[in-house]
Amino acid sequence: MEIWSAFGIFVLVPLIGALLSYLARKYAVYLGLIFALVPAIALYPFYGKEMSTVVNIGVKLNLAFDVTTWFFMLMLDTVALASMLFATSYVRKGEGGFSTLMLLGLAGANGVLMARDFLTLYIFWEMMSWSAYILVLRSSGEYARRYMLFAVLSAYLLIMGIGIYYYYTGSFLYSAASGIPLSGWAWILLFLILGFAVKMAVFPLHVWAPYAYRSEQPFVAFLSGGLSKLGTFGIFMAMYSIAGVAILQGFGTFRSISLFGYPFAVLGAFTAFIGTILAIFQDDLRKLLAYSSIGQLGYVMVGLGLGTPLAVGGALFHAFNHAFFKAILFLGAGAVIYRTGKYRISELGGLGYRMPFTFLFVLFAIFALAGIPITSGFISKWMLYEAAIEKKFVLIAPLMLIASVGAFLYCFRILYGVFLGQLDKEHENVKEAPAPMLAAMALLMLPLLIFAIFPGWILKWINEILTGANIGTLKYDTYAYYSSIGGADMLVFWITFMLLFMISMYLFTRKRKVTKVVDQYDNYLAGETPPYVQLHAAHNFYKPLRDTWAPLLRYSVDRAYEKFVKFFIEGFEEIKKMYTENPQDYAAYLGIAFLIFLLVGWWLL
Amino acid sequence: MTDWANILINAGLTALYLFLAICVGLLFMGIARKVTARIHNRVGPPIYQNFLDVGKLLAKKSNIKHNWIFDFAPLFALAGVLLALAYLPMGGYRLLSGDGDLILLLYILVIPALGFALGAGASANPNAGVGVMRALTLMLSYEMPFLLVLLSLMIYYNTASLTTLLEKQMHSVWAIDVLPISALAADIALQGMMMEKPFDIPIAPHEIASGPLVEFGGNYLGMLMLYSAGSIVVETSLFVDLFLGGGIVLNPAVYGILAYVVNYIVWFALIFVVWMIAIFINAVFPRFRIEQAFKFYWKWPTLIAALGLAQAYIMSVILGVSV
Repeated sequence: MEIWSAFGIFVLVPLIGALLSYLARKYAVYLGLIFALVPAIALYPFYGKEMSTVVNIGVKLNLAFDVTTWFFMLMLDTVALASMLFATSYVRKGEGGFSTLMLLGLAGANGVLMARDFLTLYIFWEMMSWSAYILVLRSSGEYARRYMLFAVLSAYLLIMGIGIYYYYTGSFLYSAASGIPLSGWAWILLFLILGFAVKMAVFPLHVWAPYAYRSEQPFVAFLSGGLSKLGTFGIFMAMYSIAGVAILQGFGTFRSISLFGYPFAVLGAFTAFIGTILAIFQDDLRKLLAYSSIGQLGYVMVGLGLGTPLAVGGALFHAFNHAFFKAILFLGAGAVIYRTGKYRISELGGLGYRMPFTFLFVLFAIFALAGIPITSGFISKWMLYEAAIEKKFVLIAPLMLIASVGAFLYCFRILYGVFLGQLDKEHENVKEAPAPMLAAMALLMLPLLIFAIFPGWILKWINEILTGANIGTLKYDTYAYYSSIGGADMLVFWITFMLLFMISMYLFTRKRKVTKVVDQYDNYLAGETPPYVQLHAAHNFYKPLRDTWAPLLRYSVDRAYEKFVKFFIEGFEEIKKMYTENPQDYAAYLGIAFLIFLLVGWWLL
Repeated sequence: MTDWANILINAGLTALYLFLAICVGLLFMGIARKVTARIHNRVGPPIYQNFLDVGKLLAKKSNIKHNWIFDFAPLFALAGVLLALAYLPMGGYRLLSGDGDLILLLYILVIPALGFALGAGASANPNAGVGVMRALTLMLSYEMPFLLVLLSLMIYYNTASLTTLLEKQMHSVWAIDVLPISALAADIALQGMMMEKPFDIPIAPHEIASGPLVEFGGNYLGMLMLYSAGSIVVETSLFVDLFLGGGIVLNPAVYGILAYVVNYIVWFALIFVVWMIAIFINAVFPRFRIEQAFKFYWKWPTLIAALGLAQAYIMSVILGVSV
């Protein structure tokens, strides 16, 4: 019975919400908020429950709820809630459509997480995918086609994997996986992983992301923070739940890492590197965040590929962190776009003085993104690094480490370009973002802070997932976490940091001092006193670096795909010329075709 | 009870070591000015000049700031650099009982820099923005060889813990004897990390008016001077801990308190040597442009570091040397 309540709350409630908000368009965003709130709150009593059932709606839906499902639902539903909360003051046109589609996407996502057979997975996957497509279409116009192409590609890949699975087992159930030869597993896993990797935007399947992430920001926060984690979930399930460690190890091992997973780990590291480098050079705030998203999910891919307890644990933790900090960043970008109507970093500047709370939330998210130890973003990155280093992988580890240094560069580009530097006269009267927006960001900030102080709490959940999948266990306690080669204690870190911060505070404010606050434009300019000039140095911020990278930046996967498309279009154009509208030509074609058939037939007989 | 007494003694000792480290940093800044002056055939200020400067700046009664984000710089910079110092073994004394994880240290090192960058960006002065841009680009440049060096150490010694690294060096030989190629790459990277010429691009006084520092004065500048004093010790000490055994010549477990004193003196001498190498290079070189620095670092030091990594990899994985 309980599984019915789970199915009801996590899938049916959002579906009802979708229907209602379609009917009552006037109050759609508020309805959407309420119906997103229900699963997000109802989630907590479900912790630790394990149950499964079969729902018969003409097709049999095999559903189950376990800690893996719960863990992923925690991020998806919270991010969805925050996005809907944000949307109450952001979405100004077509609210009905927006919250209907968001809730459909949420229901689909929750369904994917609960599905335990491929048919159910596919139904919910398509539900999620199509509602996301229409949401992209709402504002991105023709670029939505790119998203759709890749969503369809993902679906095809999944179907191929599922088809091969069915060929061997005669069943769609996850649990029916037995007696599949290794070559069969290779194809199944390859197709499933690639299909799910499209959602995670792993290189070279990432090209849809920079365009799709230009849509309405609350949706993009859900797409990047929430829905992309379904890719993580899918790959985790395919590799470690359906196939399992024993089969992965059966492919042969390289320092006890499966040879099947290793190439994906390398691919992930490359994705992290390439995503980061491309993010550094973006001027469009949303595109920058999109490339950063690609890079961060590359880290997750590394962890999933390596497959040690530390690596998979790090991947799940990083996926969790990424859900929250990237959602804050997209929402923060949304707040800036909402207030100024601009999204080019070089056209903004100085907004931190007008939107202090937005700035602080974004700053915290950036700490998490860059992996500063005062947020939980550090711990997941640490786990992934140590996982690669303890196995002595000299290709993956440097790529990941240098990518995270690169992350500082684009992080500061956001901070400086948007929130610091000179405030444009035009933005003199910009107001702080509305309260719902701030509340949404504050909500998302909490887990990043809590799990930085008490990493043991989340590591306990992750450990349960890992033991459930027979991967192994993590070494941790409430405040500290260890690998085989090192470890860190957050309690010591926090106490020392607080004490030292107080010491510098004391040194800084030791005596009563007169601190004069001068105008922002009152700067040292080598004795020049120009009238007001725009001095915000954010245009083409990393120009010297860009110049150095220019020869390499000429190569682009994006353009490679475009060339591929152009090749086909031109080919078809040529074929189109056959239709000359002259009957004599058609008669000639008939004659030629007849001759060819004759010759071929003769040769065959 | 004894637990609390231990914690208090540790806290006191930590405070002492941190205070000494900042003093050493200020002294080194003074020495650097003197040595550079002598190389340039000038007289130069006395070596205690920087103590006077900091004292004066911190005692200033009136200060100027642009807005509240400006305050991030002195607070985060000093707290962060003290935190990094607390995690670094100095003369074999391990301040925090944590595992001294190298990757944690690497990320702690970013806190002061990020705080500083935030404060610098808070002014509308374009010089500050350009300076931070250069500093970050420089960081991306020197981190490439430096991370490869760290990786070679972590692979060779099979640990990510600085404490274990020091113990292993104490019981065998210093890392510079087994991994000299990596040490060379690390020293080149260190020049950029300390922003000494030819890599003083971010602060370039004659081009962008000291870059990120341009808008800071009075109390703010004083705090930031303490920060740069601390970071000199962090950076030189990092090199000494990684490659020169942290200056540990006597085993503290055997010689007790004497070992701490001797090790501290040896550590001081070693970081002095590392600092002097940087200063000698600094005194005679002109400045790179930032893109030249980037190309340089991703070419030669990276190649050297990759060679060092290959050496560590071959020794550790293929030959199976375990220390």
